[in-house]
Amino acid sequence: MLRPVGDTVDAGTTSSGGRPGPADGMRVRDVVRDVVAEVAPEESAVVQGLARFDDDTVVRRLARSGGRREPLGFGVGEIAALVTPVVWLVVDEAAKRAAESAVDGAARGTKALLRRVMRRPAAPVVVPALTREQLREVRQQVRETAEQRGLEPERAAAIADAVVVRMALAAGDGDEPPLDADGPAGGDGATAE
Amino acid sequence: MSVGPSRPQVDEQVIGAGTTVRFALLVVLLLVASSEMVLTVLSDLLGRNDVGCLLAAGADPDAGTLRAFLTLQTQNAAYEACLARYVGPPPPWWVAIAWPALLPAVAAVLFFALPAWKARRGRVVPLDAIDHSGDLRRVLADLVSVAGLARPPRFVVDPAAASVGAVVFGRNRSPTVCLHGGLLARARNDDGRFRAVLLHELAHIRYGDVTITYATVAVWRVFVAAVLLPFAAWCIGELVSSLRSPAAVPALPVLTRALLFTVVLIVLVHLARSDVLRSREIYADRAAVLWGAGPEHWVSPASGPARGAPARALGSFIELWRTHPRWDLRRDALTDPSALFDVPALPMFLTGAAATLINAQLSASLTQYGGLGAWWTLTAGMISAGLVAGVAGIALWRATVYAMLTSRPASTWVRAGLGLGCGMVAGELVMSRIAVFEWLPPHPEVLLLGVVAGIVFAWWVAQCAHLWARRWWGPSLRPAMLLSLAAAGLALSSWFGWWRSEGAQLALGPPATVADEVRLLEEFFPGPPGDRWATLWAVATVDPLLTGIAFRPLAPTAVAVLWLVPVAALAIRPTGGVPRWARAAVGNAGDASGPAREPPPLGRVLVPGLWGGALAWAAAVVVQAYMHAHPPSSGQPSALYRLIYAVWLLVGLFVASGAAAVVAGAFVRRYRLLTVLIAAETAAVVGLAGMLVLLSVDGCVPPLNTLRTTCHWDPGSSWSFLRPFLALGVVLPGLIAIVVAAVGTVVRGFRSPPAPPARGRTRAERRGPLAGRVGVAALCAVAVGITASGETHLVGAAATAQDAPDHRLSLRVPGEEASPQMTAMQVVSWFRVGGQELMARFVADLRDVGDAVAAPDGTLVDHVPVSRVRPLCADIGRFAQDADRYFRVPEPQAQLLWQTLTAQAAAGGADCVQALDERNADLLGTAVAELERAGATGGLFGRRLNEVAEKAMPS
Repeated sequence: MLRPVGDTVDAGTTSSGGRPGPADGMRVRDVVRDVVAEVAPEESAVVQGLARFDDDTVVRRLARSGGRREPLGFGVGEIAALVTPVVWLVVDEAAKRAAESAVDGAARGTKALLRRVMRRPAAPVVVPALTREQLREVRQQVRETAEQRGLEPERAAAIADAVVVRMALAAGDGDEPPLDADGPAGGDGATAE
Repeated sequence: MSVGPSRPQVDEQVIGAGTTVRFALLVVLLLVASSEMVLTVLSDLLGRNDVGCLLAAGADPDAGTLRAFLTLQTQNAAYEACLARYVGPPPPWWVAIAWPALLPAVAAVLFFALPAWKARRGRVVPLDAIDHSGDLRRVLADLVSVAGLARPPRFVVDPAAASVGAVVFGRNRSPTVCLHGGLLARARNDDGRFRAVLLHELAHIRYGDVTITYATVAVWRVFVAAVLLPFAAWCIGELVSSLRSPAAVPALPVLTRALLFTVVLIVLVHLARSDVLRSREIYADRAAVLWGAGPEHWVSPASGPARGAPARALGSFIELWRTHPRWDLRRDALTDPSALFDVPALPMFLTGAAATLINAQLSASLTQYGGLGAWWTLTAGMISAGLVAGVAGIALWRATVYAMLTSRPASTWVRAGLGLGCGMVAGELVMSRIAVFEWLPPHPEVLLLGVVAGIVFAWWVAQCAHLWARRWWGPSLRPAMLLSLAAAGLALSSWFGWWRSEGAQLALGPPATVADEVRLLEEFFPGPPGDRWATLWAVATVDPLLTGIAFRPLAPTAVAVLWLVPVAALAIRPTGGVPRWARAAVGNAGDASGPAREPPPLGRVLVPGLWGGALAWAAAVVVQAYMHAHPPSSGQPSALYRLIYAVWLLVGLFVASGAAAVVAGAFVRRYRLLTVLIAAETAAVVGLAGMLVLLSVDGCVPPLNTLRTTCHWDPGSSWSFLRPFLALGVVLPGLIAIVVAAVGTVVRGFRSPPAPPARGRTRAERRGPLAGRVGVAALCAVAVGITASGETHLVGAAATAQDAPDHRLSLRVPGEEASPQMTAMQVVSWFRVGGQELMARFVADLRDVGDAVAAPDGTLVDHVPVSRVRPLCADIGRFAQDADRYFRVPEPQAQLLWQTLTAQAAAGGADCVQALDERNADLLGTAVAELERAGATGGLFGRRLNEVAEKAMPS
């Protein structure tokens, strides 16, 4: 039998200069790494592989669902219900949405364009401190996305809780208080495990 | 679809899969098509449009291709001159070569770039980057060793792909296996699945699928981008403009077919490629299981096959386009490899269509640059036939051998042949080489001959495969297969050659009437016909058909191999036990030596043929007696007398061959096609040899004296008498045999009958193996000698006749009138491509002569400037000659005026020159009057042209 591969994840290998420090919040890839290590350790190698791409590439690639028809492939068969894409996509989306109000959209667009022209990888997306409401949305989003991608509801809930806990911790001493024992937002009554 | 436990497991590698030749067929098709497409577009861009000359010659596309062709033949010199002037030479020959050379070059660049693109940064990561502990590498190394690969492939990971799969790309020598993220996530918890997927991919490498698959992908992509799309755009542009302009209407069917061709090409290549890839997947699956993968990992993510007929039909249709078979089929194929040995109709159809397209396009290119020689046609036919024999032949061999080893009924050749034949015909429908100006040829029923050809090919190959597999004892069937497929390919190339010329002619309709043919025969074979007109008419009726069939280079050789190859198999002495190749395929469980299908002994197969040969001798004696009783009226045998003598000898030979075929078909029912062929051809060869002897002693038996009255042994003259007919003498019995075997099979059913009860050996067998072998060797030697002699005669005749025009084509002049609009277009074209220039020249000469010789009061001037006027008058004379060499005016009334005009101009010009040379004022006056009349006629002619053109084309 195989043993788990990739016991450690070096998630920042593709980031260029300006790597955010702890004061900036936690990087999306770190959140994903921690959540996957907790709820789906068998996917650690996948996260490790993805960590070699910049965030834009990862999100673009993960957003595609379904298998490709390739000659000499094994055939379009089973699509694994992976935790990694769910977590990465939702956390990335939440991080970007939260940051949107703070950064001028036009300037960001120009930067992205320049970066593409210069073929320089994007700096890793950082998760800013989220409000309780935003965390509730993230939790809901993770559950929905996970179920859409074929994960069982119970597992979806567990992943969602793990994500929210990790993001709340990432917020550290942010404006919003950390999650209390009653669950991240009360919301639909599900509790974190 | 699962297999019972009693059925022996057959190694799917018992015969080569034929994958390479199937891919080769597609690549050749793309290369040939690219050459032809580029030449077509280039010719058009260079302004090489011959419609103007065609219409100017009076050809009426509305009346059909044959009529248009015949009309051109009647004015061939003018047409050639027009083409030379307005159309010019084709694009340089290197253009035709450059494109097919450039395409693989660009494809090679793409082929080498593809792996780099697929493994680019941002898409995959090296395995080492995530496998720090090396566990994964150890597992993969183990799998590589299980798969028996000499060198491990490069492993990369696509972490973003969620599928539990992998893919291999690159080249056979440096393959890359890409593991998907979904598979990686399963590596720990689902080791079995991980191993199954990886072993499947490693099997692709082991079987050498990588290079050929991606090479085909590269060629196809380059072809689509660089050739197909530009060609399709050109077709659409031309179609749109032809719909707007009435002058381009004749080209509508041609352009539509060209566009249809592009669509057919896309569908054909895609379907054929997917079909091959599906079979490669099954090979890889089976190898993976053989190497230890668990079959339970071949599970469909969805449920099984669709329920309900429409859903199933839709599913089957979608399946055709996929590169992987359905999961249930793959799973079944793990235990039952029959899918790999099946011969479905669709791949055969695609093969047939591809062969026709290759043949047509290659012939078109070769004809453009190499003339319409028989050898070029033969070359094109051989390439197409070789590919068909490779693809369809190997598939039929596999199906036959598998059926034999598993004791299944082997009647798939009918379906395969039907598919192949229909494909060949369907390919013809998108080419414009038979029907040009019409949507379908005037005699579409002739196209069914293509279906027949496909069926006969499949029939022969299947029977020959069965026969050779029974008698072949070597460790591999490959030599036997190659021998029989070479024979089948040769026969098929003869078919393609015939179809290209004679078949096309048949589909267009006969160019000459029987009366015309009789007249031709009388010209070629002078002599008083006497009371033999009936014979002459009969010969004239069948001669065009038989000439086309038999008098083709390699046709006698093709027929010879069709019967000598099975004879060679029958000549192998059967020994007990399971053949070595069968042991390799199934162990000792094979049924290859079961008694139920033991081929008949060679002696028994040859007996009807030998009796048929004797019958042919008897028939020759009867013919000699008949000819002796009806001596030539002039005393000396004329060419016609000798022709009729030869015809009767051949009739006797064919009757004897037919009788031998019928007897063989009735008594030897196993391997009917082969045995009947052997019987008919044995009769023909023995009969021809006997006739040679009989003719050599002509004059020795008085009641049989025919061409000679003195007795002496003269094989030389009898040989030279018979030699021109040898080809016909060996080819036609082969066709008779096929018909007899087909009728026999339809009457008695397709299945092989049970073996007859054991019976005593034939007399030939009792006589001992040595005598039998000597006899067979002698027969084969005679057959080879006769065939070779007939062949060399044909080659000599083909060399001399290569550039000679077909006399039959100039016989029938079309008489029907064209529509007013078509006439208008013809007249306008006549005017544009030469008529206008001629008329302008005449008018200018006439005006200058008038200016020089006429005083202001209308009388002749006193002093005519001879040096100025004489060249003008001479040019008027030359104008009349040039006008005679130019096309007739394609409108009767205008033509009448044109003839009058040229006659008047010729007379006036000649008189004028003579008058000036003789200083004869009276004659000059006459000449001027003639020229004035010619001018007046010219005016009428011009008005008539305008009338015709404007009546139908008011715009």
